[in-house]
Amino acid sequence: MTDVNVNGAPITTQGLFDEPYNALLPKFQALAASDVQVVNLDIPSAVTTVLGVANEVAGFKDQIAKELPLFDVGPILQLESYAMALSHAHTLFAMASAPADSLAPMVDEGTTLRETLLADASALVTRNMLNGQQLRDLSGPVGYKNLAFDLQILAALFRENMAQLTGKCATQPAELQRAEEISASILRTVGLREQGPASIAATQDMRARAFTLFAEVYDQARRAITYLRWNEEDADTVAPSLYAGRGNGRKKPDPTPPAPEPVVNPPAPLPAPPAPVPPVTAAQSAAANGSHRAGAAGTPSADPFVS
Amino acid sequence: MRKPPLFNLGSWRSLDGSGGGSVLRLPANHLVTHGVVVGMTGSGKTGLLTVLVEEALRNEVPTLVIDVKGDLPNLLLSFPSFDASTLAPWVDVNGAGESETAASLAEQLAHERRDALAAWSLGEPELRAFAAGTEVRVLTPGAAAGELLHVLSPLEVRSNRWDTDPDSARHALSAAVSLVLRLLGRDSDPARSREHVLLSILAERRLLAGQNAELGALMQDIVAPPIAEIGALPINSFLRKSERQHLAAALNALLASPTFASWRQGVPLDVGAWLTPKNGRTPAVIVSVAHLDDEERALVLGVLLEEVLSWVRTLRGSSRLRALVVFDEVFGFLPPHPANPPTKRPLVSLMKQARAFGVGVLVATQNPMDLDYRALSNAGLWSLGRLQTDADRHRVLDGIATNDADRTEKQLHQTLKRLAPRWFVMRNANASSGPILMQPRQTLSLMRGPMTRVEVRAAREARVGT
Repeated sequence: MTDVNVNGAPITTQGLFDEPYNALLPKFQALAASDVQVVNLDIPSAVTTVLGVANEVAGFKDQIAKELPLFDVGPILQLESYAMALSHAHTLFAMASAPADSLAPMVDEGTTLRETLLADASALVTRNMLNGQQLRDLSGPVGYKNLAFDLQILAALFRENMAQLTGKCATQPAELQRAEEISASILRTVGLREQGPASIAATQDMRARAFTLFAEVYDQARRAITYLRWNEEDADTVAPSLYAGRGNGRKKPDPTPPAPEPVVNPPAPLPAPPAPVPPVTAAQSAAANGSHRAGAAGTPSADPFVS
Repeated sequence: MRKPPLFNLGSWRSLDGSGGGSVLRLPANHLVTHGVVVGMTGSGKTGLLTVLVEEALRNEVPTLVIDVKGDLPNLLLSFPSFDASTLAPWVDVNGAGESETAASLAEQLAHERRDALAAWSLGEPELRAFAAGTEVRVLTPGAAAGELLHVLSPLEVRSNRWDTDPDSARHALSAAVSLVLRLLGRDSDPARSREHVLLSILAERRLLAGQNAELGALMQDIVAPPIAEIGALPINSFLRKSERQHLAAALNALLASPTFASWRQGVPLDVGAWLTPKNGRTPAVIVSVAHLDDEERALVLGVLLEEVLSWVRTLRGSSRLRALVVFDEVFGFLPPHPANPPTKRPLVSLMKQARAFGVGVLVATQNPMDLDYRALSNAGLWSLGRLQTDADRHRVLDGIATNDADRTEKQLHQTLKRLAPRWFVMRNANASSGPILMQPRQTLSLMRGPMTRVEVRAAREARVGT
């Protein structure tokens, strides 16, 4: 892929995604089949989310090394690479599993055209203007490949004898052109179909492997960040879960939900006179006085207003 | 004195949106003064109602739910764990990618639910406790998707109410007779229909005498009346013999109809029995009428609400919430004067009287223009979600009296206009604080959207043995 920067100089983006993929390919291939996870996320959204936070996560490298000395920080410094590799694996899978061109319209048109060309050719053979031997090679219209090869044979027959047939039959050069195009389309589509399942399965497997390692590395990153940011209660802002608020990409930092507390047994009695709500905590009040940052929709810290 | 249980509804903020989202706990007895939820489609109204019902059940408050749109049978989808296999039948595979199967989508959904509930400090223990502590039933009058309901039991089956409270028994009888006449395609208005008067008098005669009043017996009475006069008129002047014979013939055809049989089978209309806990489980009875047409709904719900009202009047007085009656969607059933569908009288009476017996009524609508605000004027808890138009917002703010001098209607209107989905302006007359913004928590039940009859049946079958 090539693009142009603001100065007009070409920028090549080739390698942006397939290079990390190729670099990590041995690790993907080394995964045992039993360890490969089912893809259970929308991959483009997940990749976008992780690419958005990868730099910030990497910024915790020194703190992780200091506070979690036994934690292997190496993989999470490669979060960006794992995300790009997954993106490339997903693209390869999408290309392989794209539906092949529909055959039915081509077959219909090809069958009609075969009949027309055969009728013209038969008439010319009867009048000794064409050698009928080649017509014996025709297989008949049943079967995609048979139809495709018959169209090729008929088109070739007319082309070879075009000089002496001009003005003596209704067949037009455009029809021969169309017969060859249809033949090629049918053969290509049938070929893709025959190869398709194997190709799809291979790219699907690789995508699942890439996803497995991507998810594992990101999980490790979230573990570390959750530990480091426990008191600040903003781990979900630095490294958000990929299973919540899907499609929202990087979320605005939130002021943190309240710490988990039992629902059935309230921590304190209601003040008199009875009020439906307990007082705002000091942390929440501080957040209100500072910049208000909203969490994902459906969470306690979501923004109550539309923009 | 025992403290009232607290409903964990979600989170709240000040009306200007400030604050970090504190937990909102509503004392249960605040619902004794009834509640109204208003919001357009997509405002989160059904989610809020579901949370209110779940909290009632978690606090052992039996709940009767009237379901018009088919959403509230989602309460059947309260699973005891995040096990993806229980979710698999309920995932939508339409539009899924080639590599996505029901199983992978179910896994995905299970993760989403786990994370969504965890944000509200809820997890598998709460799911397990909720599933184990509640008994959810769905009654579907006239259809076998849920349990069948003998809607005509106030007519055909004699109850003790004829001895203790004949007025309420009479009202219930009138509603049942209206339903029969509607099914016959005849005028069902008790004030106008001579056939209604005749059937009601003949039925009451039997019931007061200690007998049942099955339709077959009533048919005989119509043809050969055991009474000579109706009011001041001889019976043949009130309703000619030929007309009575036509009525009897139509009734006979109805009795012979297999479809009609479904209205006369199933669970008797006994609200008290429905809402009595059994085996330590708190009951939630959902009467779903989503499959009926508008007129049938009004008549069936008229019968049901008369029964609810009669039951309430049998209770002792209480200030604590002993039962909750939820009505989603009330549009068309509580219209302003002069409209008077069969549901209006019992609903208005419930709004006025049920609080004295500890029964709270919660109504929800997406159409604030067609509500009898006078009937709702004593509702203590108003929850206003997103509304489509300025007219809707003005209407609902006009309809509720705000006694908070610091909040003008204009401010509330602007707040409502900016409201995000799943957020509500909540005004609680029982609280000293003014209106607040509240966001319901994630529901324990899977919110699948309106359920078809097939899905209701499948969900019920899946719950058998749980």
